[in-house]
Amino acid sequence: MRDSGVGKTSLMNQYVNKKFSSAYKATIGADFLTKEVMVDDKLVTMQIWDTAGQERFQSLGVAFYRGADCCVLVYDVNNNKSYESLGQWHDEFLVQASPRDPDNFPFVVLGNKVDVDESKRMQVSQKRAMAFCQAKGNIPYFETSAKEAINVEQAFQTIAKNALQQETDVELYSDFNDPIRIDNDHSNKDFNGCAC
Amino acid sequence: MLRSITPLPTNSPEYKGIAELNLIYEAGLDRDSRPILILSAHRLPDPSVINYDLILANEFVESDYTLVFFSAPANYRPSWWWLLKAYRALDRRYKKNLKALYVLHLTRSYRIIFDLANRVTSPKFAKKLHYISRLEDLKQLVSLPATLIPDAVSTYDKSIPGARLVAGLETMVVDTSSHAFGRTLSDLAGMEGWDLATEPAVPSVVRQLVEHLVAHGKKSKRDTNIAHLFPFLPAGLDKEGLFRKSPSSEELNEVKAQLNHGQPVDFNLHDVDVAAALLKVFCRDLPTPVFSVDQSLTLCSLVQVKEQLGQQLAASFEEKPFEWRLLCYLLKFLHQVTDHAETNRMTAHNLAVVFAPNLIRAEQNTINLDTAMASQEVAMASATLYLKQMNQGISLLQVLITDCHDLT
Repeated sequence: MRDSGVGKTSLMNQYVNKKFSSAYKATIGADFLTKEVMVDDKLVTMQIWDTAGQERFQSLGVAFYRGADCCVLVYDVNNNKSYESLGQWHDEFLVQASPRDPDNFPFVVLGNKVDVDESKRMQVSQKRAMAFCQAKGNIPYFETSAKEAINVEQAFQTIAKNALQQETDVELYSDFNDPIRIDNDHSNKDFNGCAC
Repeated sequence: MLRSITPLPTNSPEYKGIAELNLIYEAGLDRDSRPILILSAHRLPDPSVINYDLILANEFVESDYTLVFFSAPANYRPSWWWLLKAYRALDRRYKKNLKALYVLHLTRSYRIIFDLANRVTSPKFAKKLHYISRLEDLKQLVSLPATLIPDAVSTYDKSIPGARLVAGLETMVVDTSSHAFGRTLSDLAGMEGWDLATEPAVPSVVRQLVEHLVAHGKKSKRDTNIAHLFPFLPAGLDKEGLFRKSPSSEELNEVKAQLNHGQPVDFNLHDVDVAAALLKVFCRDLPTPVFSVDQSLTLCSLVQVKEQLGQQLAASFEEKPFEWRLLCYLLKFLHQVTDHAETNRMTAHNLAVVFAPNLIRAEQNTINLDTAMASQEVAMASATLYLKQMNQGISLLQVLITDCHDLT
């Protein structure tokens, strides 16, 4: 989730379809893609939600926040304003999604569009973004480019891993009241990665 | 206790000296993700020895920051003149990047003198300055980890008797007699002295915003500074992502408040995104939406048959003549924006996506978007319904923008 035009949709497309489109399209409401991914030798289906940056659509995202196993915050490294509201988004997500354990809910922060020419780039210093991530409980931080496919694979792998971790924790918790359960096959289990 | 605090990074001997005082330290981020710096008076050095530029010469100060000043207790109490001098000694850049200054525990007499001096020196600065009486009141405004508040300050806070209200926050009082946003179109017409026979029959704020975007909108503040050297720089309509990208919410609210108070605003001093966003906000804040959901649904079924659409469109606005005039004016303007789609990348479709949620909504709020209390199923169902309505609204609006000259 993040401000308009930071590249949320492009990141998702690059990861799932290995494509970058220079078409310029605002996202309507919300959209999602799925991808099968190997995490620790397990095949899992990742569902990635893409929410609109437009302020009027944002209230809609709330319905999709719940049940998410990981929240990805994206900003544009060339746009200071898009960085500045990261904190708001982080808190907003926790309030709206109300996860079981807010202090340990997995977040990942992506600073996108690092491909932009050096001379025009880096209004937001890496240091500042990392300070933010550290302050919020060591959130993994990646500098990505959906256009050049820089760090996209690595970022989503981390997202998948952290989301699965979250899911496993919840599973264990509910297993406690479910002693008859004999199906231990954890492969191909769905979980949501919320690329809001 | 102060050992847990990160002192300023020190690259030179002078900095080291200052850092040893532990005078200023970082204390996390405020609600807008800006670094918070704390300045504690009980550690203040002799101002004749220390250059205040050096005190604040932290890399964070290069960008926006919030400063919290614990004015008490102080080992030797700074004079008001001293505080003013400290502020004046700072480089302009630091003042500009200072977004909010919270002064805690400053006595009334100091405040009066400080206020007077401020009115003379910088009214702009006065706006950023907030006096806070109690630590508890500060908590409402900035969240500071308790461990970063010096023990001396907490002890002092407990020692002052009685609860006092936050002072200096008069600016937060909402003015209900708005001059621009959230009023009906006919109200605005009455207040501004125009009617349906006037050309164009739209509120002055809408006209101001549109005219600014067409004529003078600059790409950004940085470009504004050099615009006189390069008159060929693109105007507002050529900015990539116009109406899509959002401005700083703080700047937006500031300008909105000014317009609501009927104060004149020089939009050239602001990012072009501010004017663009305000046009959206104006539509969104209208007590009656330009399109009701039902109206949009009916019209949407006609997008294939243009002749009928034109007739039905005008007919459906018979009861809403002011909204009709506003719509015609906006559509012509948005069409003009699409003429620049090669540079601003805002095609009729993109503009429709961005404007539909602001122009189309239910007369009564039947869809509860505030899903906080609702169950997940209810939330998903209402979200899906809303999306369906918006998708239809977007396709309608896209046609209206593209063919506005034939339809209106």
